[in-house]
Amino acid sequence: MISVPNRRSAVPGGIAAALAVAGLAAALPWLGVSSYGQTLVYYAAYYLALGQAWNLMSGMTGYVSFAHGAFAGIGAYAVVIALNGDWRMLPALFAAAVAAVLASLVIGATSLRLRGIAFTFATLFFQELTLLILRKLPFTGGPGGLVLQQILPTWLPYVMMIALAAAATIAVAMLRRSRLGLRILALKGDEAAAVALGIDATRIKLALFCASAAIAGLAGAAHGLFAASLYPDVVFSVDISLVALAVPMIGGVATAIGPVVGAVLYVGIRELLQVVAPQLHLTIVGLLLLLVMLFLREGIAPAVAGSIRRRVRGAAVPSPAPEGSR
Amino acid sequence: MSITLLFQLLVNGLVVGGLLSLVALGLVLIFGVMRVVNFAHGEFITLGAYATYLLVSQTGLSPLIGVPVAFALGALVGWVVQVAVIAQVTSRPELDMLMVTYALSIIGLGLFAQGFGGDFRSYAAGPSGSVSLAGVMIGWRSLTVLLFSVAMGGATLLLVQRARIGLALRALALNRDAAASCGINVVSGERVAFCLGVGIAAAAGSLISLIGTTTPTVGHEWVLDGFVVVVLGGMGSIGGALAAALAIGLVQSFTSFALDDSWAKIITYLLLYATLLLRPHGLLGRRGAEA
Amino acid sequence: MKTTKTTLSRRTLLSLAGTVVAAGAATPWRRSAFAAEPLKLGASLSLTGRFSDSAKYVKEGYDLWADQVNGKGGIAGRPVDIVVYDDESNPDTGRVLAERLIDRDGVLAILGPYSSPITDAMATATERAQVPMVGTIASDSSIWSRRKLHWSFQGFPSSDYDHEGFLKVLHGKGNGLKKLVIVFEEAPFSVAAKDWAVKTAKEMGLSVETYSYAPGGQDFRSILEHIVAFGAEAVSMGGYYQPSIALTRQMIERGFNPVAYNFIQAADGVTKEALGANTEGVFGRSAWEASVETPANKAFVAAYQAKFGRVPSYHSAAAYAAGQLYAAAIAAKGADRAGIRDFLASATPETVLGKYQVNATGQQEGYRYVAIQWQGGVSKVVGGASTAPIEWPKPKWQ
Repeated sequence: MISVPNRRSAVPGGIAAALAVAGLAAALPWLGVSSYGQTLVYYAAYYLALGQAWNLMSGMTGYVSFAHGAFAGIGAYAVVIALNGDWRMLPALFAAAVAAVLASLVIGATSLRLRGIAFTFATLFFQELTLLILRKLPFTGGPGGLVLQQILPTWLPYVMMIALAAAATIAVAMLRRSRLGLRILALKGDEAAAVALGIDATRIKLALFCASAAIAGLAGAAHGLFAASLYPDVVFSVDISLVALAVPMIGGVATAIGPVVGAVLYVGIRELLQVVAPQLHLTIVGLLLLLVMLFLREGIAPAVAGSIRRRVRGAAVPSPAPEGSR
Repeated sequence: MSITLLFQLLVNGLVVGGLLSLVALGLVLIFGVMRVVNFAHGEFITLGAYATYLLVSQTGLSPLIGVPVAFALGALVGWVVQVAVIAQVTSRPELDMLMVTYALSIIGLGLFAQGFGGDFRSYAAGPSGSVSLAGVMIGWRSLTVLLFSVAMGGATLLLVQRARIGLALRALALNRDAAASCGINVVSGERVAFCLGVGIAAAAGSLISLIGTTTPTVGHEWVLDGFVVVVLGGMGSIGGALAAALAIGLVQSFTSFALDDSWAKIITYLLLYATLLLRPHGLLGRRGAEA
Repeated sequence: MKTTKTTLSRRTLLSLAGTVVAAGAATPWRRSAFAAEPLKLGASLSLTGRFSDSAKYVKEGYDLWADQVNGKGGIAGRPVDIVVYDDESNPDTGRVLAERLIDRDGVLAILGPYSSPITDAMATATERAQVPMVGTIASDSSIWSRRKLHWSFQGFPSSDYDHEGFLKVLHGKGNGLKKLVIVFEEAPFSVAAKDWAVKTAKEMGLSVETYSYAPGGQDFRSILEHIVAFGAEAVSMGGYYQPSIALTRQMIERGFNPVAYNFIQAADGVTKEALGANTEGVFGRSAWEASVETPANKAFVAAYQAKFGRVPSYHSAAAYAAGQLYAAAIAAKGADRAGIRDFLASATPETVLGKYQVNATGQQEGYRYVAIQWQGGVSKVVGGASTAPIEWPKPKWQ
C-alpha cells in the first residue's frame, strides 16, 4: 500500500525540475502570455498549494481534514485586515500563517489524540463554525465581509502563489525521502504499532498539522490579494476544502508529484467544462474521486508511473529480483 | 417567560428534534452495522425532498403519500449504491469508506444542482392551518411531521429490538466476526442496514420538504446537525442518538429565541467540540480503537 | 444554445490566432476602426447554480436589446455582439470570466451579472483592466460604498430603499398603526436596508423591533414568538426569497395575522405557486413593473412579448436598460472605454427603469422601487397616484 521511494538519486533532479517549472511559470507575465493564460496557471498553483498542504497532513497520516478551506479563508481574512490596517506585506503574510496555525492548534488540541474519525468530525465543523463566528465579529466586516482597499497588480499574488506551490511541493518531496517521512508513513500503516516502537504519534501529527495549516493559510492569503473582496460565504464555501482534498487524492496521495497531476487535471476539467457543461464539474470531480478510490487507490500518478516502470522492465532483461535491486 | 411561550418553544424544539432523530437514526444504523460514516446521507435526504416535491407538483397527490414513496425510492437507491459501490470497499479501512461516501455526496450535490437549479422548491398542498391547545399553537404540518417522526422512529426501534433481522443487525453491530461465525449473513445484513438507513433519510427529506423548502443543499444542512447528534449520542447507540436529537432540537429552539439562529448553530457545533474534548471515549469509542 | 455555439467558434479562432493577437488584445477596440466590425460586449451570467432561474431572464433582456439594435443597423453603423459565459453562480468564477471576456474576447465593456456578490468580484477585474461595467442586477449599494470603484456603476435600484414602498403605504394607510417589525438577513444589503427603514419608521413615529437570521434561514418559529409577544401590527421581511417563503408559511401555521405584511421579494411570479391563495393582500416591492405606462416601457413590453411569448420580469427590464445605457454612451462618446466611463458617471439618460443617475461613488439614485400588492392573484402596483387602490387590512390567512 505504501510505496517507499527507491530511487534516491532521482529526487534532487526532481527538485531542480520543480524549480525550473516554477521559475518559468512565474516569468509568464513578462513573456507576453495573455492574462487569461496566466489566470489558469495561477489557479493550478493555488490548487496545488492547497493540495500539498492537505497532502502534508492528511496524505501522510491518513487523518482526513475538511478544514483546509477554513485555514485558507482565515489566512485571507488575516492578510486583508492587516493590509487595510497599513501593515507591510511581509508582516501581513506572517500574520496570515500564524492565524491559520492557531486555528489548527484549536482543532488539534480537541481531537488529534483521538481516532481519525473524531479528527475528521472536528475539522468538518470547524469550517462552519468559523463562518458563523466571522459573521458575528465586528472587525471581520460581518456578513458583508471585507475588501482590500488597494487593488494590487495581479503579478504580485501570482508570483507568490507559484513560489508557495513550488516550496510546498519540494517540502513534501524532501519529507518523503527523510527518515521522519518513513516514520510518519509507518504511523499511517499501523498507529498502535508505530507508537509501540517509540514514535510520538500525537506530537508528529500536531507538527504536521500546523505546517500544513501554515501553507494553506499562506495560499489563502495570496488568493485574498488576488481576489481583493472577501465574502464570508464564498471564502468559507465547502468547495475550497473539496479542492484541497480532491487534488492529492486523485493525483496520488502521499507523493510529491501526485498533487501536481491532480491540480492540472482539476484546472483542466474546470476549463473544459466552463463552456460545455459547467454544472457538471462537481459531479465529475466526485466521480473521478470515486473511481480512484475504487480502482486506483494510490492515485493516478503512482499508477501511471508503476505501469511505465513495469513496461520498461518488461522490455529490458527480465529480472527475478524485485524492483530497486541493483 | 410566560408558560404558554415556554410550551410553544418546547413544541417547536420537539418538531426539529423529531426530524433530527430520523436523520440520526439512519446514520447510526449504517454506522453501527457497517462502520461507515455515511457522508452521502445528506444527499439521500435531498433525494427524498425532491421526490416529494415532484410527486406533489406533477401528480397533485398529497405530500403524505410522498413519505412512503420517498422511503421506497431511498431504499431502492440505497440498495443500488450499496451493491455497486459500498460493498466493494467494506473490507477497506474506515477512512477509505469515508472518502467513498464523500465522493458520492459530491456527485449527488452536483446532480441536484444541475437537475433542479439553485432555486428553492416548495408546494402549498398538504395539511395547513393550526390547532390551539391552551394557547399553544401547533401547525398541522408540524404535528404531521412530529407524528410521522415518532411512528417511524418507533417502528425502526421495534424492528431492531424485536424482529429476527433486527437481532442479526444488533449482532453485527456488536461483533462482526462472531456474528459471521454464528451463521449470520454479513453481506445481506449490511445491505438491509444500508437500505433501511437510506430509506429513513429519504423519508425524513420528504417531511423536511413539508415544513421547509427544498434546495440542492437542504440535506447537507440537516446532516451536519445529524452528525452532531450522532457524536453526542455515542456513535452507534440508537437510544443515545434519539436522546441527543431531542436535546439538540430543544437547545436550538430556546437559543434561537433567546439570541438568534446563528447562535443556535454556533452552540450546537460547540457542543460537538465539548464532547470530543471532555467525553471522547464515553461518547465515541464504544468499540475501542479500531473497527 | 445558438449564441453559445457562435461564441465558442469565435473563441476557438481567437485561440488559434494565439499569441500573435495577444499583444493586440490589450487594445482591441482600436482594431475596430473598420466599418461594420461588431461592437463586442461581454456578460457573465449564472446560467447554472443558485441564481440560474433568475439569470436566464437577464440573458433574455440582453438578447432582446441586441436584436433590436442590430435590426436598426447597430450603433453608429456597427452591430452589437454579446459574448456570454456561465459563472455557475460563483463570484470567483465570475471574476475569472471577466478576465476571460476582457483578455481573450477583447470586449469593449461588461454587461453586469446577476447578483451582488458576483458584481463585486467582477469589479476587481474590471478595475484592474480599466473596463466599464454596469451592475445590471446589483442592488447591494455596499459594493460601491466600501471601496472606491472607478469603472463600475449601479444599474439597479439601491437595496437601501427596499422597505421604502411599504413604509409609504403605512404612512398613507396605517392610521393608528404603531408597531412595526423588520426581519432581516445577516447579509450586507439586508442590514443596510433595515438601518434605513428603522430610521425612517422612527421618524414616522412607529415603534420598531428588528430580528435577524442567518443566511439561508429556514426556521423562523422563534422569531415569530418574539413578533407575537411584541404585538406587531405590520411586518416587513427584508431577506431573500426562500427564507421569506419559509417565514410566511410559518406565520400562517402559527395563525398570526398582521394588519399589513410585506416581504420585499413578493413581486416574484412564483410567489403564487408557493403560497396559493394566501398571497392575497401581501405587499412587496418591485424594481420595475410591466404595467408602468411610459411609451418606452410599452414598446419594450410589446417587443419582449413578441419574442418570448410572455410578460417580461424586472430582470429582463434591467438587462434591457443596461443595454440602453451602453447604446447611449457609445452614441455619445464612441467605442472608447474612458469615454463610456465618463458618460456613465455623469449622464442621466432615460431607460425602461426610469431616469438613470448615479452619485459620486457610482451608487444608483435615479431608479427607485415601487410598492406592489397581491390582489386577486395578480401583483398590482399600489401607493402611487394612478395606481390600484390598496386592499386594507390584509385578509386573514386561509
